[in-house]
Amino acid sequence: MKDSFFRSMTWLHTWVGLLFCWLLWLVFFAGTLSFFRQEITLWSKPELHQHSMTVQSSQQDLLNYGFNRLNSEAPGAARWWISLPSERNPLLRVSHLPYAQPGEKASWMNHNLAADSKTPITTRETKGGSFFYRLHFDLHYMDRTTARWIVCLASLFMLVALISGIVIHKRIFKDMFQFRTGKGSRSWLDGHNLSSVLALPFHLMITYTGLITLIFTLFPYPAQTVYEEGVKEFRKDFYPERQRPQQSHEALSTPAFAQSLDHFFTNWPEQPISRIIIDHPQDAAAVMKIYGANRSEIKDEQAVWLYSGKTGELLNTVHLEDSAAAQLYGGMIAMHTGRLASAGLRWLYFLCGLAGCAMIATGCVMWAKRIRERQKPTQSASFGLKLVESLNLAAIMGLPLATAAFFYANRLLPVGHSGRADQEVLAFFLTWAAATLFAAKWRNTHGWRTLALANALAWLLLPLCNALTTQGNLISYASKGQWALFMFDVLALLAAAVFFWQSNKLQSVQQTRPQRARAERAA
Amino acid sequence: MMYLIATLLCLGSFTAFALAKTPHYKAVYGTRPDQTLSQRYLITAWIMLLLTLGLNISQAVGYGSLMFCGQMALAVLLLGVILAFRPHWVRSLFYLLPATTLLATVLSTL
Repeated sequence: MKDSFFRSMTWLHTWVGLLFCWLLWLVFFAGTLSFFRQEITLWSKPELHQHSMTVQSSQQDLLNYGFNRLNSEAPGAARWWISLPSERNPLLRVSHLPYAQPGEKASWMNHNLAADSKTPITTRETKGGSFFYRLHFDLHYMDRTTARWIVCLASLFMLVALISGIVIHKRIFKDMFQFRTGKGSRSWLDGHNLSSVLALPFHLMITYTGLITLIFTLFPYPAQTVYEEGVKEFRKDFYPERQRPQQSHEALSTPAFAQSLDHFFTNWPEQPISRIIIDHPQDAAAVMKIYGANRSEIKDEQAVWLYSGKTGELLNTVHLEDSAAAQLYGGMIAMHTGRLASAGLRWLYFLCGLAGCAMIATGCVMWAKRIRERQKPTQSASFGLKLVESLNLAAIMGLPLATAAFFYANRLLPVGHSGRADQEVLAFFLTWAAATLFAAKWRNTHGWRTLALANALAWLLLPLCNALTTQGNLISYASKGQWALFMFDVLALLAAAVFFWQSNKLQSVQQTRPQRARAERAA
Repeated sequence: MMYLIATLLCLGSFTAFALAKTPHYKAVYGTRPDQTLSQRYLITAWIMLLLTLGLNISQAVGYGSLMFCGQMALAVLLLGVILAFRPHWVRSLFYLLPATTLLATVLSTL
């Protein structure tokens, strides 16, 4: 241990930060994009763009339509599912799950419909925003449980780094707005401090609540003490709506779904519905589950009303009035996911997420910069320094490039191609692998500049590629008021501008360095 | 609209926090502030920050607190960038911010 508290905290901050910084960069980057998960999915499915985002039909009309359709299409299904359109997702989805044949697994039959005209819409196969959402905590190409453990550990390290960072930053309030440009590693430290301090409440909240989302992986012991089967049984108790009733094999000739809906609309007239699921719709054991949409309340679990399909009576309500502990848990998850946010708060979340990315990136770069500065000109770089420099370049510049490649693949791969969604993901990882190989060879300023230019070009041409392959473009989005798509293009152009600026900056650095070296030699 | 007013107030508050600090004041106005002036800026900043918090919380306790954190981040980022690259813009902000806050308040009451 080092000789003083301050020094030991600095040591802790440096090494804890460095150990997981590249993984944390990925987690923060994917998480930040996930705040716009629905918007990215919408962009990834240009087939939806011609349809209006505002829904005129009432929820009751849409539900009646869904029930009629399922009645005629799949009366004997094991489950029905009707998802109602929301502000961010304009689709009415009507799905059913047939009973599984022995030895087989049944799969859902989904129909996506335009909410007002009810015309079926076939969209291209893509993961869209959900890819980044899953990447954020399940990573990819690995077992989910392992991935979550790794992400848990990384978040724990992040929390330690944040707190030790607060301890060692003595001038949080004094230097709050301080950013001195053109001063080598001092500027990097200023950038690191500014990006950390400006969104400090967010960083602490998002890291802590991130750990809470995986708390039952990390800390299953209370559930194991109370329940015999541990977390599994606890979940059964906590989420009764997720349990499927047993089939009674007694036919249900006149289901009471309409009475149940009437009861719901009379008693909770203000409550919008997000979806309805019916288990065994033609069986006497049928249960209708009405999921209420969460508005801007700080809660994660949707309230569910369970009605008997046979009698139409209300069997149970779930998460309508949660216990204090459940409210705290749900509240923290809601704060983490930001699903509750309307446009203004969502942008603020995004901004804070970007600040987090900047904090991690500047932190990684600073470590390498400091070691380089301390080295004598004759000294050759150690393996560790080379590794960190390569990983920095590969992660920080490679990830945005790979993201752009994912969006290009979405537009350029043939629409009807089977396994298309996986090929988009492959394009993402192949580009990242290529950037990593590049970074292993050229990790100097020239390498940074090349990748910055590649990023700038990729993001600049993305709106153009979108305009050429779909019917919309930046101007048509603005004139039709499709702001989600408009902002996607604007953000791509902004990213391009930032990368251009970066490459220009790097060029000036590259030019001044040989001059300085020559001047030193002459002196 | 209330959240917009809160955002403008928050920006005003952090402008005052920045002007209370000698190096930033010097970068903006070219002179050193005397101690009473710094103190006045500091008091104004705290009052405005508390008002921002109050306004956000009056809209919704949980949601408002999240908005408050986001607004502070936005304000610090904007001021950090302005002070680093165009410090004299803060002189315009000094008049612009109260004016827009007032305008937004009047518009919200209509």
